Amino acid sequence: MSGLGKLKRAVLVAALGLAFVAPGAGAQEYRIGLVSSLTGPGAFIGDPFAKAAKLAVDKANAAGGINGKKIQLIIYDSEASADKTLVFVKKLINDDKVSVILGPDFSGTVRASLPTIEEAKVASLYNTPIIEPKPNSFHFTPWPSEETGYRVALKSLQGRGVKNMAVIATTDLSGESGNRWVQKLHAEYGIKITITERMEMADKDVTAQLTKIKAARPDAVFSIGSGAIVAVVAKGYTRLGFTQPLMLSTGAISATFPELLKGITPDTMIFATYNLLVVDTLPDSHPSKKPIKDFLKIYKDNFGKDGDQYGGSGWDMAHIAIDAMRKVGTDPVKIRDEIQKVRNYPGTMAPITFSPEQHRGTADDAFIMAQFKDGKFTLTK
Amino acid sequence: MSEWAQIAQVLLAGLTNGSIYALIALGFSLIFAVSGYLNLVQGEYVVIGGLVTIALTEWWGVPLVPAIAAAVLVSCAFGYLLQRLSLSPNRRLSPDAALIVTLGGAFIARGGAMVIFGKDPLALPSFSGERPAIWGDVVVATQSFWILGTLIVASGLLWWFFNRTYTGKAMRACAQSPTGARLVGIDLKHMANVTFVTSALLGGIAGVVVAPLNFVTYDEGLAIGIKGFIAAIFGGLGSYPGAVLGGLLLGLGESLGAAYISSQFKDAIAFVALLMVLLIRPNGLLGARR
Repeated sequence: MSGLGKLKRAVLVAALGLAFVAPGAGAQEYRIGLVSSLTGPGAFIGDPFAKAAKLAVDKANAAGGINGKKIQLIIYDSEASADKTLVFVKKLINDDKVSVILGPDFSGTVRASLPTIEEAKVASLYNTPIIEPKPNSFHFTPWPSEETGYRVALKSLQGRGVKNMAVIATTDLSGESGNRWVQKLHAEYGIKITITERMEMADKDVTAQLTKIKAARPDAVFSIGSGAIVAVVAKGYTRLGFTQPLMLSTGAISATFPELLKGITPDTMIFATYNLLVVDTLPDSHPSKKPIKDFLKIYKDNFGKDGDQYGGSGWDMAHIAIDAMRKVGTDPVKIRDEIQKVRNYPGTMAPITFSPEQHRGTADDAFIMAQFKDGKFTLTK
Repeated sequence: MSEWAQIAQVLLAGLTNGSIYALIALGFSLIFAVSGYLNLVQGEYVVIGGLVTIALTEWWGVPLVPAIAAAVLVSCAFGYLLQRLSLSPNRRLSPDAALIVTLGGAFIARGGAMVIFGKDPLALPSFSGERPAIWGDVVVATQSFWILGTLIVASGLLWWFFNRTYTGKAMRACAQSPTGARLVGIDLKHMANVTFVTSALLGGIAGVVVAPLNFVTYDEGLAIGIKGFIAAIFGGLGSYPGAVLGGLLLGLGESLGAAYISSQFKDAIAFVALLMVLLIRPNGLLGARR
C-alpha cells in the first residue's frame, strides 16, 4: 500500500472519529436501528420482521441509497426479553446514533423501551397492536388495535342478523382480553351474549362446553383463542352439527390452517383477518393488493418462503423510515414530524396514515371478513 | 336439545376422554406394581404412537394398519430402551432417582418429536370416516367407539395375561414380593423388560386411537401423562381395575364439571374430587393397603 493510501485512510478514520464525537455534524450518516426477537419464543414474529426490513434497506441501497449515500441497518436480537431490549435500544441511541428505530415487537418489550425512546426523542415504529401509542409521542405502529378487530367481527355478526350469541374463550391472557372486549362491545351491535364458556389452551376436547352452548340455541358462536384450540373447537362444532356461524377471533387463523383443518371445517366458520392472508381473493382495485403482491414476491425470491403479516409490517416500516430520511435527513425529531405527515402510504396491511394525534397507522380497513371453504380462504361479509 | 340428550352427550364425551386416561393409568400401575417406579414417559408413548402413525400415513402414504403397527413398535422400542439403558433393576435406582430419570426420558422424547415432526399440531383422519353417529340430538364421533373398544379389549387381554399365562402370573408374583419371586426362580430383569414394553404398548395404542379425535402436538405428552397418573392414583396405584375405574371417573368428572359447574374451573373440579377421595381412602378407590 502506498504512503498516500495510508494517509488517506488515516484522514478517513479521523473523520469517522469526529463524526462519532459530534453527532449531527456528520449529518449524512443514514442509520436505522432494529431491535426484535430474532431467536427464542418470539422468533416467529421478529425473524420475518427483521428479514423484510433488511430487504427494504438493501433494495433502497441498490437503487442508490439516499442522495448517493448508503443506508445502514443495525440489527440487535432482543430474544423477546424486556431487559435485553432496553440495553439494545440504549445502545442504538447512544452508541450507534441511529435516527429511527424499528421495533421492538411485543407488549412487554415495547413497554420497557417506551420511556427511554421518549426521553431520547428518537422516532420508533413498533411491531405490536397491543400497546396504544400516545398522540405527539415518538412511538408509531402500523397495526390496527385489538378493539378494532373485535368491532369488525361483531359488525359482521350484526349484519347477519345475530341477536343472541354464545362465547367460548380460552383462559389465557389473550382469551381473557378478547373475552373482555366482546363482553364490553356486544351491546353496541344489538347482540346479547346468552352464554359464556371457557376452555384451556391445551384442551383436546370441548364437547361438554359446546353441548351446553348448543342447548342454549344461540344465533352464532364467537370462539376466542388461537393455535391448536381453534381446530379443536372447529372439529367439535362440525361434529355436533352446529349450523350457526362460528366467528373466530382475529389472529386465530394462520397460513398453515388449511392443512390442519382439512375436511373438518364448518362452512359457517368466519373470521376477521389481515388482507395479506387472502390477497389472491382481493379484487384488483383493492389498495393493498399490489403492495402485498410486490412484498410477497420479493420475499419469496429472497428467502424461498412465503412472507407473512409480520414480514409485511417490517417491509412497510422500513420504507416509511427511509422515505422520511430522504426528505428531512437524519434529525430524529424532524423524522418524527415527517412520519406524522404520512398519508395513505400503500402498506401491506392497509393504506397507512399517521397524524400528530393519530400514531396508529391503520384502522378497520386493515381487516377483512373471510371464510374457509373447500380448503381455501374466500371473502365474505 | 333435550335435557337427556344433553346429559348423554356430556357423559359420552367424558367416557371417551376417560378411556384414554384409563389406558395411560394402566401403564402407570403396571410399572409401579412390578418395579415400584413412577414412569413419567407414559404420556410420551401416546404422542409417539399418534405422531408416527400420522407421519407414516399422511406423509409417506403407508396404509393405516401397517402404520399403526410400526407406530406401536416405535413406542415399545422407546420403552424398552429407556428401561434397558437407565432403569434396569440391577442398577438399583431409588424410586426418586427413577422418577427423575423418567422425567429426563420424557424430555428426550418431546425434543426428538419436535425435531422430527415439527411444532405444528398434526391430524389423522378417523378410522371410520368423519361422519358422526347420530341418535336424535346426541352426536358421537365414530372414533369414540374405537377408543372405548380399545379400552375394553386391552383390559380383557390384560386380565387374560395376568390370570392365564405363565409370564403374567410371574409378573403378579414380582408385584406381591420381589424377593419371594426371585427365590422361586423368576427372572426380575426379564419381568422388568416385559412391564416396560407392555406399558409402552398400551400408551402407543392409546395414542393411535386418540389421534383422529383431535390433534397431536409434540409437547402434550407430559400433560396427558399427568392426567393418566392422577387417574391411576384415583383408582389406587398398582391396581389394574382401579386404573380403569379411575380413568373413566376422571373423564366423566371433568366433563360433567365443565358442563354443569364451571368450564373455567374444569381441571380444578377434577382435582378437588380427587383430593376428597384420597382423604377418605388414602390408597385410592381400589388400592391395596400399603
